[in-house]
Amino acid sequence: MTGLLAELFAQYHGSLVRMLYRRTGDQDRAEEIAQETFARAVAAPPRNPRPWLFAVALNLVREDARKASRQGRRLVLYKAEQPESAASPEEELDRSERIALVRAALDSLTERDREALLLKAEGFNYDEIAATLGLARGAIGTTLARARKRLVEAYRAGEEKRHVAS
Amino acid sequence: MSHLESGTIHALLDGEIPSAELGPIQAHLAACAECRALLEAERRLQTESDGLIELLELPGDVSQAEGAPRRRWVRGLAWAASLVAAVGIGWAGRGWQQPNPPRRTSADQVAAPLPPPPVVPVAAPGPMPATANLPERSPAGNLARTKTATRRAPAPVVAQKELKPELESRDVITSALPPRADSGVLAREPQVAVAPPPAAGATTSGVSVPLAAERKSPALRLGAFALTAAPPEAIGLPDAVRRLGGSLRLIEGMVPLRLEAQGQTVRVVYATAQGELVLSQRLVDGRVEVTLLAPAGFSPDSLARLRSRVRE
Repeated sequence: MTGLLAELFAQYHGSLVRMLYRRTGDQDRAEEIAQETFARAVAAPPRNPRPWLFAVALNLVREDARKASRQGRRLVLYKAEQPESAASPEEELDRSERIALVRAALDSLTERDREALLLKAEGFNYDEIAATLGLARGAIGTTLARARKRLVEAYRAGEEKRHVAS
Repeated sequence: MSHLESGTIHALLDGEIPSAELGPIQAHLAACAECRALLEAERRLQTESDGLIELLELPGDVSQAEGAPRRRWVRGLAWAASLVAAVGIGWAGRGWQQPNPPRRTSADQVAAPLPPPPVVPVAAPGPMPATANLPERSPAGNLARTKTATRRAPAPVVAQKELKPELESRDVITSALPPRADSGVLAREPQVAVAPPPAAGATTSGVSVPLAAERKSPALRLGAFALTAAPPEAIGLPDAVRRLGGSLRLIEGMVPLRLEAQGQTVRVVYATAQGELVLSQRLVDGRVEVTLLAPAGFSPDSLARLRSRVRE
């Protein structure tokens, strides 16, 4: 069991945390949810681990968001993420603003579109995305086409506003 | 064959069309300029979308982050700050309690980069490890610089002993901040009770500053100077809001590192690569006076843009 967990962890932890971070915008939360996901994998070892792990993790994110919503919290937070780089203040500020715009654009998508996009970014193929999200394989191309279009449009709209404001 | 659907085109671009179904699609594309144009447009869209997602990188390597200390209270503060902006100030004053901020550790300093000196020599607690092996741009780079600077101006042993417990807290270290900010702006903060450097051998806040060391090291002089100012006190959001009569300002799109009070002034501190940026606010005749204090190296343009993003 420990060996299996170690193997799963080595293979998927980085990708899972990255996807969760993109989804939540909070590294601590991403890591906590990943830990909880692996803990559940120990309790009930999955046959098809990658879609299983990502599906459980995304369920936990949704559950967490619902809880937050019931408590009246507003979890939307477009934070200025601080890259450790030698970039100039202007470059850093610009990058930080672009990241906030991407987050806002991503949050404007439907849950399904957003998750499909994030899974694709982790290298999932259509079969895996379909298995993770419980969709028909034939719907994945359309879902991704719509998600990409909306993401880019929302981002461009945000960019336009930013330039008008500055 | 009718025109290709965008879903089919994306499946094609993603390499997800089964080979048995490729023939008719390729044949259609060869004959239909409209679909070829659409394919090209969708390809560009896909590239742009992928690039946007990749912008959301994890800050640092995951495996390193696992061992790193958590700074949950900062995230709690960030959440609360966005909440204030979203639902108004009134709610915040009703009993939400911010957890006590953690003592600032060396690891915290690494996580919230501080610029190079000036340094209070006594700020490095405990025995000083060698720093020669630390790479300049390592995550611990700032710490390394601090330690190196400290070695150039060694503090008297007596000062280290007396201050060690206190200097491990964030407050006292932060009191050495003034030189990092734009001194012209800082001078407008009357709450910082700046006293002249103490005379030789005099004790300031329990620090014995020998004359010889003071002469040799401007950093030490500066440190003693800073220690005489009223140290900022870590405060929670409701307290900050209360002190400002219910109207705290924040910089839109940035997450505060911490909140402090220094006299009647509330300081919202943000981390930047150049050092700490401070949005200083105080209540004067019922109005809130706001001053943005930038670290050295921050350009006036960036400062102006940030100023335009200050929101109540």
